[in-house]
Amino acid sequence: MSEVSAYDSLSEGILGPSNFALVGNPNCGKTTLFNALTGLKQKVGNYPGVTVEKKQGECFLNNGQKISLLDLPGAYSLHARSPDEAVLRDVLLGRRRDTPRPEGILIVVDATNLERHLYLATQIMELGIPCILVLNMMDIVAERQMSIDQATLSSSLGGLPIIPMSAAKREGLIELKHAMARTDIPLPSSGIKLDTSIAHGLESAWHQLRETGLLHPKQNLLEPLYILSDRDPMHSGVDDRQWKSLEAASKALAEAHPGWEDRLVAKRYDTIHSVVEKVVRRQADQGPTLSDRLDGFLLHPVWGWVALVAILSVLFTLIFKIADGPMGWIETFFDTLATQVTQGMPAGDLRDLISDGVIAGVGGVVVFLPQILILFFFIGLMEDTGYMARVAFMMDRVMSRVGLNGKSFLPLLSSHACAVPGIMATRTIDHPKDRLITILVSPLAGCSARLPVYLLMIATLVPTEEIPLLTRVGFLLAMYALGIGGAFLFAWIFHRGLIKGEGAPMILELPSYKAPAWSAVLWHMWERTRLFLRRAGTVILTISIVLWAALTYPRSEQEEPAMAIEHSLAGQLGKWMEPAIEPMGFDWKIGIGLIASFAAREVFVSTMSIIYSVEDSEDLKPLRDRLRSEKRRDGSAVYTPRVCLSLMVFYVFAMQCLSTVAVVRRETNGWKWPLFQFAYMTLTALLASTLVYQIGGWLGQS
Amino acid sequence: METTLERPEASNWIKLNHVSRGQKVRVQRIEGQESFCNRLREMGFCELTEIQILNNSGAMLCQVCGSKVCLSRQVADAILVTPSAS
Ligand SMILES: Nc1nc2c(ncn2[C@@H]2O[C@H](COP(=O)(O)OP(=O)(O)OP(=O)(O)O)[C@@H](O)[C@H]2O)c(=O)[nH]1
Ligand SMILES: [Mg+2]
Repeated sequence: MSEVSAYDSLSEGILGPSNFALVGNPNCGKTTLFNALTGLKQKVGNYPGVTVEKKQGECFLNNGQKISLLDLPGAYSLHARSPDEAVLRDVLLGRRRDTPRPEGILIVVDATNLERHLYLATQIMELGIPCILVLNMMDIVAERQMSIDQATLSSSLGGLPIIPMSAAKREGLIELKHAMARTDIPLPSSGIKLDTSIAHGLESAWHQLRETGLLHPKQNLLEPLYILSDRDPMHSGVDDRQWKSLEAASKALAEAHPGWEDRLVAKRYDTIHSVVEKVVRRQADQGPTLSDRLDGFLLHPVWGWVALVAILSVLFTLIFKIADGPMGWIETFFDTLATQVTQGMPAGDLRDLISDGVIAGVGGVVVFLPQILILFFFIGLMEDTGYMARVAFMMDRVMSRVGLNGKSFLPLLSSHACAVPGIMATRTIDHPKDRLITILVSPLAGCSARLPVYLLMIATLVPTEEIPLLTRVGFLLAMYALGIGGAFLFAWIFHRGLIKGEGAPMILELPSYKAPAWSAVLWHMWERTRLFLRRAGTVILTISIVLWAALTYPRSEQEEPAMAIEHSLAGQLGKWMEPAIEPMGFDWKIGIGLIASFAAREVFVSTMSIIYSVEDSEDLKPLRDRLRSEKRRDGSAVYTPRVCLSLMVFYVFAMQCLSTVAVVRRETNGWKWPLFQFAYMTLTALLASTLVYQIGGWLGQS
Repeated sequence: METTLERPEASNWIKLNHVSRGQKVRVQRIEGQESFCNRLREMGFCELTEIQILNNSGAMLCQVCGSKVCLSRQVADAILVTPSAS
C-alpha cells in the first residue's frame, strides 16, 4: 500500500477512511442514500439538481466506528460548468477551505444506466482516493429483468468494491456499511490511459505551476484542467496570475495536440461501452416504456399544454374547495382561545396583548395553513413524479423568447413554494448572466407567503354565497399569471438592457417518471408545516407584539378604541403616509400593513387582524367580513373591488421578504443586486397598483 | 487517431434541428466553443453515437446514452448528424 500513503489526506492505521463523500450524476439517489445512512431528512426529488450545496452528516458503521458523510450536488463531469458542479469538484480536489479532501468516496450510479453514469465515475476513480461503487436502483434493474455481472464489472475497474442496493427501499445498507469499514479499500483504476505524448505535454505544462505551489505534486494530470473549467477564478482559490499561466499552459497543449480533449471523452465512452457490453444483460427490446408513453402525451404540443392547464386548475380549485373545512376549525380554535383569555384573565394590557396582539396576529396567518399545505402537496407531487422537469422542457420556447432557457424555469417553479430555495436552485444554471437574471426575477413568482394576502383579498372581494367558485379560482390564477408574466417581462428587459451578453442554451436531462413516494411527499408537507408554524411562532409573533404595542401606545384614555388607534404610534405613522398611498386607493390602516409586511408578506394579514381586534375585541366576525364593512370617513366602503385588486397587484410585485434579500446577497456576493432587486420590484409594485386603482376609477368602478 | 468507420460525405450532414420526430441519427460533428462542445460530448453526444429524436415541438428531446436529454433549438443547431442506417 505504499502508493496509498503517498496521499497525505489518507488516514493511516487500522481504521478505514473516517469520512466519505457521496458523488455521482444528478438524480442518481445520493441524497436518498445520505438520508438512509445518517437519518437526516435532506430534500429529495425526481429531477436533476435538487441538492446544490454540500451537507455534512454522521453515521455509525457496523463496528461502531463513527464516520462523517458528505452529501454533494450531482455533476456530469469534473469539468464543472455551473456553481453546483463546482462545489463537487472543489471538495473532491481539496480546494475548499471549509471542507477537507474526503478520505473515501461512495460513487453512486444508477444501475439502470451505467453507460451514462460511469463517465463521471471514471474521472473520480483517477483521483487517487479509495472508492466504493454503489449500484443504486437495483429494484428497477430487477423490475426490468436486467442483470449486471458485478464480478466482471469490479475486475474491469481495478478491483473496485461494488455494492448493489436500493437506497429508496433501504436495501443493501448493511453490506454498504461493511464495505465502508474495510481498511483495505483498493485504489481504483478507471482503465483509461492518456496517450503518452499528451501525458508528457500535461506533465511539462504543470511543472512550473507545481513549483509555485498552486498544484499539489501528487495531483493527477487532469486536475488542473478541471480547475480551469470554472469560469469564475474567485472560487477555486487560484489568483489571477496563476489563472493566466494555467490558461496559457492548457492553450499551448490544445494547440500542440488539437482535439485531444474530445478524443479523451470519446475514449472514456468507448471504454465504458465495452465494459457495459460485457456486464449488462438486458431483456430484448420491450417497446416503449410507460415513461415514453406518458411523455408522448404530457409533452405533446397540444395535449401537453392541456394537461398542464388541467393540473393547475385542479390545484387552484382544491385550494378553495377542500381548505374551507380545516380553515374553519383553525378559526374556531383561535376564537375559543381568545374567548378563554378574555374571560379568564383580569382586564389589562397583558390580556389585550395576548388576545388582540398575539392570538389575532398569529392566528390570522395560521388559518391559511390548509391552503399552503395543498400548494406544497402539489409541488411535492410534481417534484417527486418527475413532471417538474417536463414543465421546464415545455417552457423552453417561451423562456428563450425572453433570453433565458427552460432550465431557468425550474428555480422559477420552486419559487412558487418559497423564493429562498428557488434562488439557491439557480446554482444549476451554467451561465452567470442567466443565473443572475433568474435570481432577479425569481421573487416575482407567487410564493406561499403571498397566498394569505391573496386569499384574504379575494374573500373580501367576492362574497362566497352568491358568486360561483370559478370567479375566485380565476382571480387567484390571474395573480399567479401576473407574477409569472412579470418575471418574463423583467427577464426580457434585463436581458435586453441591463446585463449584456448571449443567453446560454439548455442541456437538461429528463428523469424517468416514478410513482410518488407518499412518505416523502407527506414528510415534505410536514416539514413545511413545521417551518410555517415556526415562522408564525417567531417572526410573526414578534412583529405582532411590536405592532400591538405600536397600535396601543401612547394611550389616550377617554376616547373609544377606534379613535385611540389613530393616536397611537402606528396610527400616526399611517396617517402621515396616507397621502402618499392614496393614489393606490389605500387608507392609513392598509399603510400600516404595508410597512409591517416589509419583513414578511403574510404579516399584512396579521396586521389587519390585530388592528381590528384592538378596535373591537368583542367582535369575532371573520376578518373578511370586517374588512367588507370598513368605511372611510365619508361613509364609502374602503375595500371596493378596485382597492382589493390594487392591493393584490401590489403584493404580486413588491419585494417584501427579508430572507430573500439575505439569500440574494449571499448568492451574488454583495449588496448591489439585492438592493437593485428591492428597488425595481418596489417601484413596479407602486406603479402597477396605482395604475390599477386609477384605471379602475376611469372605468367608473367605485 | 482517425476513426476507422467510414463517414458519409460532409455535404450530406444535416442539422439536428431539422430531424423529425422518431428518427434515429448519428452525430457527425458539433460546432461551437470548445468547452461547450465538450460538455455536449460528456452528456453523450459524442461523434458517431446514435441518438433518437423523441420530440421536437419547442425544444428537442433526444434519447441518448440511455436517458432522455432535452436541448434548446440553439444547441440542436450546432449538432450535425446523418440519418443512421437502421
Ligand atoms: N426506485 C428507486 N428510486 C430511487 C432509489 N434511490 C433514489 N430513488 C429516487 O430517485 C430520485 C432522486 O433521488 P435523490 O436522492 O434526490 O437524488 P440525488 O442524487 O441526490 O439528486 P441531486 O441532488 O439532484 O444530484 C428520487 O425520486 C428518489 O426517490 C432507489 O434505490 N430505487
Ligand atoms: Mg441530492
